[in-house]
Amino acid sequence: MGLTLTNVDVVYGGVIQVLRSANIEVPDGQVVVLLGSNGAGKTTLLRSVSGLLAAELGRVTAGEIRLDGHDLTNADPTAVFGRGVVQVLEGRKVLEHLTVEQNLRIGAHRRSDQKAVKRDLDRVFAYFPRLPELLGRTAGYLSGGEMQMLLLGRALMAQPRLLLLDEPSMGLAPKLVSQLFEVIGRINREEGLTVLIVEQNARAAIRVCHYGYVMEGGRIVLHGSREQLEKNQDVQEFYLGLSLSEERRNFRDVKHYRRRKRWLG
Amino acid sequence: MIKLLQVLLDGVLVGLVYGLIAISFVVIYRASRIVNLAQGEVLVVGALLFWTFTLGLQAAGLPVPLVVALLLTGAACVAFGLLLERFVFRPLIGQPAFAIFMASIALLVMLRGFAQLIWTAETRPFPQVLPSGAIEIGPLLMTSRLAIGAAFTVALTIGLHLFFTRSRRGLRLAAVAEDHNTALSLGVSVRSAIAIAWVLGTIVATCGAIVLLSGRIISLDVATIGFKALPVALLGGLESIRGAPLAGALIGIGEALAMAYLDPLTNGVASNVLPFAVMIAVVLIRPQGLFGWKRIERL
Repeated sequence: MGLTLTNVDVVYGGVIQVLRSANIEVPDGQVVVLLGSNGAGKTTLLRSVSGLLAAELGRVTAGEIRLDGHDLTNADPTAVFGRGVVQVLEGRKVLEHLTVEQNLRIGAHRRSDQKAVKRDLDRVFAYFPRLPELLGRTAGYLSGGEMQMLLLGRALMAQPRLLLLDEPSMGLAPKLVSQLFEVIGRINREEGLTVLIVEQNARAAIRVCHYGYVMEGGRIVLHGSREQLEKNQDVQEFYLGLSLSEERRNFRDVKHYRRRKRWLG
Repeated sequence: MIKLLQVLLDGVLVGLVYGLIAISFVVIYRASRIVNLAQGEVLVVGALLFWTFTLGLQAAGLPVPLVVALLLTGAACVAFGLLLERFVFRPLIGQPAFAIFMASIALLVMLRGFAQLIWTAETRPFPQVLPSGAIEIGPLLMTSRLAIGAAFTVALTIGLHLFFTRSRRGLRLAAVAEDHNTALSLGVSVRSAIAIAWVLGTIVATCGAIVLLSGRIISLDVATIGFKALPVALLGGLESIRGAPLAGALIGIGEALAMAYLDPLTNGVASNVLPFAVMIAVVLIRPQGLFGWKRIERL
């Protein structure tokens, strides 16, 4: 079943259209990545799923969003959360004046079975062995990498059915980024957790994904499996920074410009 | 020496009552980032509601037991708090601080007007809920009304602190206090958290009114206590429940000392001015107060 977006349009404030007829499918147990440059509409797409659009005066004006057949179009964020969709916002939004432990416990605030919560806490500690040492620390003073671990841990404490990650690699050192994606891949393999990741760091994200979409100007312009994306010339050139040959290329290369233009169309 | 001790004791007790009212500011501010300048008027309305259900009903020939009157007042406070939240402050969430500031001043004047309309401006006796008289500790005297109020403040502070840091429901409110968007992303209903905060704030203010007024006279002027509690809330830190009683005790002591030693020389001005001098000092030197949340800047 999984998550499906069918021809979704999103408009902010009744006038600014940000998503144009987006179609995305996130099958159960897969990691799907959404690539694109700044302002392509990636975050908007995530927010349309989690229901956080309304807080910014956005609305889904056409199309529908379904999870396991349930309609989530323009649903209330608390109701979406109740269906097990947990979004990790971009910009490392820990609850900064609370302790690490309180941050983790708030992930489980809807769950009453304390035994299961305790079990999940141990599971989170197994994925992030640094966290137990940090329990009493104020979350706002953690390092960037520690915060990202805490955020993933907090999301896992909610027993997600679908995890939405918004630019988890932002502002992290390359080594931390690859560690982070490795853990995301492990959680997906070991627990079958479905994940939708929005990323600018295409190289790291493509490596863990099963399927990927590329967005430009509010549209999905390209999609394919990991192998297809890795082989695709345009993706290689625009997102992975690889050029076809070793020789130097001219910036005014007409072909490059035309190809790019075709996308933006 | 005994006089000094007595002054300090009085200061602490009165200060803790200020702390109680400051808690009502803090509870509302945490959830909604709104400093309700009309909190003193809210307190008066709470007090008048309590009067209505006790002496008011008695005068109308329908006396009810004190417990029932307290329950009725509680229910009326819930309704009143929800009314304020829904119709005045919810539409203002996310608006600039200036708009909220102006709205709370308008609310202050309006509540004063409505209170005058419904209950008239006459002064009236407030029911005796807490025992009158004083407890003797050696040579010192402790007003039992204030002593009970102080104990209540301390208990309430500990209770609320545990609630906000330990319980699941309280953690939800703490998440809302941190950031509305993050709280929403964690499936916390920001709207109901704010409604709970207003209800809680109104009830706490009414408890403050009962401690303050028990067996005394109530008039609309009692609302100025709201302005006295504002410096306390600022000094303690607007996000901090724990800070409120501590700051209350500090300001209470300062006020009592000024009253005993400076007022005779200044025609009674010093003790009135002191809390507000403290308020300006706090805003200038340590805007987050003693225990408030400092914005964590990452460099």
